[in-house]
Amino acid sequence: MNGYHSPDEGDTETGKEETAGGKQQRPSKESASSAKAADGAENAVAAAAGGGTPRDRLASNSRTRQRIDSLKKNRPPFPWFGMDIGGTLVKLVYFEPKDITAEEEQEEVENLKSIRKYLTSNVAYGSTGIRDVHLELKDLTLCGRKGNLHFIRFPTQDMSAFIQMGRDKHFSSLHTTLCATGGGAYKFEPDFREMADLQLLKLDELDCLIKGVLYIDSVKFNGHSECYYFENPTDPVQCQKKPYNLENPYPLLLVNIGSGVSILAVYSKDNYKRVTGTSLGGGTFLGLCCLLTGCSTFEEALEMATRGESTTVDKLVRDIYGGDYERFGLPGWAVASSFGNMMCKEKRESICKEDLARATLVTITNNIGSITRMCALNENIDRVVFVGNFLRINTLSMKLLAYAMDYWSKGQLKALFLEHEGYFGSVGALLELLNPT
Amino acid sequence: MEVNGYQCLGEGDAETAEGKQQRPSKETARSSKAPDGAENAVAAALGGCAPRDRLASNSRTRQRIDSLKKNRPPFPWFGMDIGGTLVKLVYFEPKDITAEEEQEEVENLKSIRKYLTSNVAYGSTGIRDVHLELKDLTLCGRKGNLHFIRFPTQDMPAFIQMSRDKHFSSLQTTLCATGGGAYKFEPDFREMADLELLKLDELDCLIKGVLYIDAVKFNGHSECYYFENPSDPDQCQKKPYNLENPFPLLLVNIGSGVSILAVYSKDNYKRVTGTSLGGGTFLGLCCLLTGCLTFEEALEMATRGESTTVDKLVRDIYGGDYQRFGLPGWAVASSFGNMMCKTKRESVCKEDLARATLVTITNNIGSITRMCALNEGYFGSVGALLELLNPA
Repeated sequence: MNGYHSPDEGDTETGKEETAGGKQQRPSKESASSAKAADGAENAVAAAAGGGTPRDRLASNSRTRQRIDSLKKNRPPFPWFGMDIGGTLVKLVYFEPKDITAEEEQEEVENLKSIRKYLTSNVAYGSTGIRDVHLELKDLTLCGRKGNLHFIRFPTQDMSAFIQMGRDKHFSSLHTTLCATGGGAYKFEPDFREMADLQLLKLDELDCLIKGVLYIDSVKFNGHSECYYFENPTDPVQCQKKPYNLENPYPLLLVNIGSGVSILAVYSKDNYKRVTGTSLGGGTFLGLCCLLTGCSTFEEALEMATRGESTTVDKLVRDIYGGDYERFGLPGWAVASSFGNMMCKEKRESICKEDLARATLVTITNNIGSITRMCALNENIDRVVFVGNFLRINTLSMKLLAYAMDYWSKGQLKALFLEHEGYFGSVGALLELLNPT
Repeated sequence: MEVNGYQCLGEGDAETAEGKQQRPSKETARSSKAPDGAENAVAAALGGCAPRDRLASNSRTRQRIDSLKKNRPPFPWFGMDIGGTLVKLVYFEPKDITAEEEQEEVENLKSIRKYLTSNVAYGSTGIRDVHLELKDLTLCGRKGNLHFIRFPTQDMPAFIQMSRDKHFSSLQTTLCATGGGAYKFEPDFREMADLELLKLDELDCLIKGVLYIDAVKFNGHSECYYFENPSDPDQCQKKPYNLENPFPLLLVNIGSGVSILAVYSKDNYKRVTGTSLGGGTFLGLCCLLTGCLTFEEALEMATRGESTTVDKLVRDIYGGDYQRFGLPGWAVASSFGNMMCKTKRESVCKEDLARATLVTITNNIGSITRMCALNEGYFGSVGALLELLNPA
């Protein structure tokens, strides 16, 4: 991509550290030689950097040298972004370099500096953008640079405002490649081009998802495990979050719960297939909750669900059988018919909004669990990783999934979760920028 | 099926049934000389009678002994499935009653027969699906019509009251019942109406019922059908399907909830899975979202609505198809996904919500079914092999 190559920072085994170190030693010789490179080359670089008067060019010699350094190190120029434009949310990862030399800083173009300061000195952007500070990866080495990786999200419906901002900050003059994945990379491509003169590099969302998951797990979360599971999921007292070592991840079932759901069987880092999906996902939960309870946001819906009781809304096996349906191992507390009590007027009048929110969450979550279990059986895989922003701040669903996987499979299936939930696609896009395949 | 020691050949097996019809004449002659004990047992089973009655009831007794020899339970013949939402009742109305039999018929049995067959509605919620009636059916050597009646499970107490009021228990017939309600309401039947239910598993009954009805056909027509050109409103046609060699078969029962069965032979099946997103979910959600009250209302609204305004489609996210994984732009990416947006919520109508609910539930069942079929396709062949090696 744009002729840049970077060794993969996650891959320590193959002794890439040596190579990276080796590479770091090379530039000094090459800089010297490149300084003597034909004017043509310098001009080309300068032109790419937006042109300048001879006075600027003299002053920008070291900037040019820096860019040539970058070229030699096979690094794309800053800023480094990865973007995942989903059905509901845009996920943005931004790498903030912390090893900027005084020289580099001095030469940094104004809009690049302002982008860096804007992103890192705020935790909220406009009225709907949020930086998930608790997810920040500190002191990360990416492509030979040291810095922090920031995780930012905003609603997809505010995309035009984002593109406007890209235009206002003259993002296009930075000549950086904007790697974007998710459906919106395709949908908004014309808008980026026409409104902000930006060319997106479109990447497949599932390719990026997998790359992102493998990378983040390998670099760990500020020294801690990225992957975890729940021990004793149904016991409120005993339930514990425990780290899980995903070192030998294959084969793995990866369930991405966004607006909708995709289920992937991953056999190796380059070999996976999309097994199936379901349209009953996070968007269904939020959409139904808004309709049934009058809430407006995911946070509100979750908060209501936490306070509600779904067994008044759902028709359980015991409501039909008077107890268990023993013949087929269906316990009395299992849901026979989701929302099945709501066909009865009296019951409708006896429940509250919180109960409806809870029932919606339980219905969507259990349906995903059930479909996942079938896939795991079909694919003969016993580990399932659940990701996606439906699980953000949603311990209720995570524990339900953990329990359901364990219970219905009689302990054969394990439900795993990742701290960075919905950001893996954008991380994968960033990796593609730095290490194009 | 064996019930109370009575055995009946499946009428699907026409040859044997006719054979049986010839036998009785010889056996009747012999049985009139049978010891009193046998007759007493029959009489006791039927609720006992005084000696005076017994004289007058000689021919009734003879009829009942006929029944015993023919291995038939006494009338009335009911089958009951007490589900999560509806009670389904089948009633066999004998049409070959002789004048003698009619004369001896006990009063409450006659009144039950007349009540059921001269009405198409019962109380305010009971319905007889006349269009499904199987006419001139031969069942256990008797000829008659099979009636199909349904009422809401929540009206079960009224039904039990009625059986008490009509002294159903004095008929000493066995009430065969399946569905969860056979277990749930067993105490109520016993305590309120002095009736003992014979509880049967709902999935066993389901399969037996499907195989039987398909075998006897629907008044000469095919019971089984499919839709040709289902997505073309002009060309879409209902066409008969021959289920003669049905195994292996995936049977998806969509009631309040859903059960999915893989059937390898008439005696070999397993419940593959189920889902709680069934008919009860459709109706429950519709009632909440649209204010409707009945299944018929909900369906009517759904027919008039448009779900694509409610659902977020692939094209809403991608701007077109998601080609890499073969997802067309019109496919639903997120059911109800547009409803998180206030302006879209304000732009949809109740009919759209009903439609989206129907589409969501239906497609989810379809999706799960397809996964089962894929998986069972492998196991189905294994099941068929087992059947070959070890026929039931």
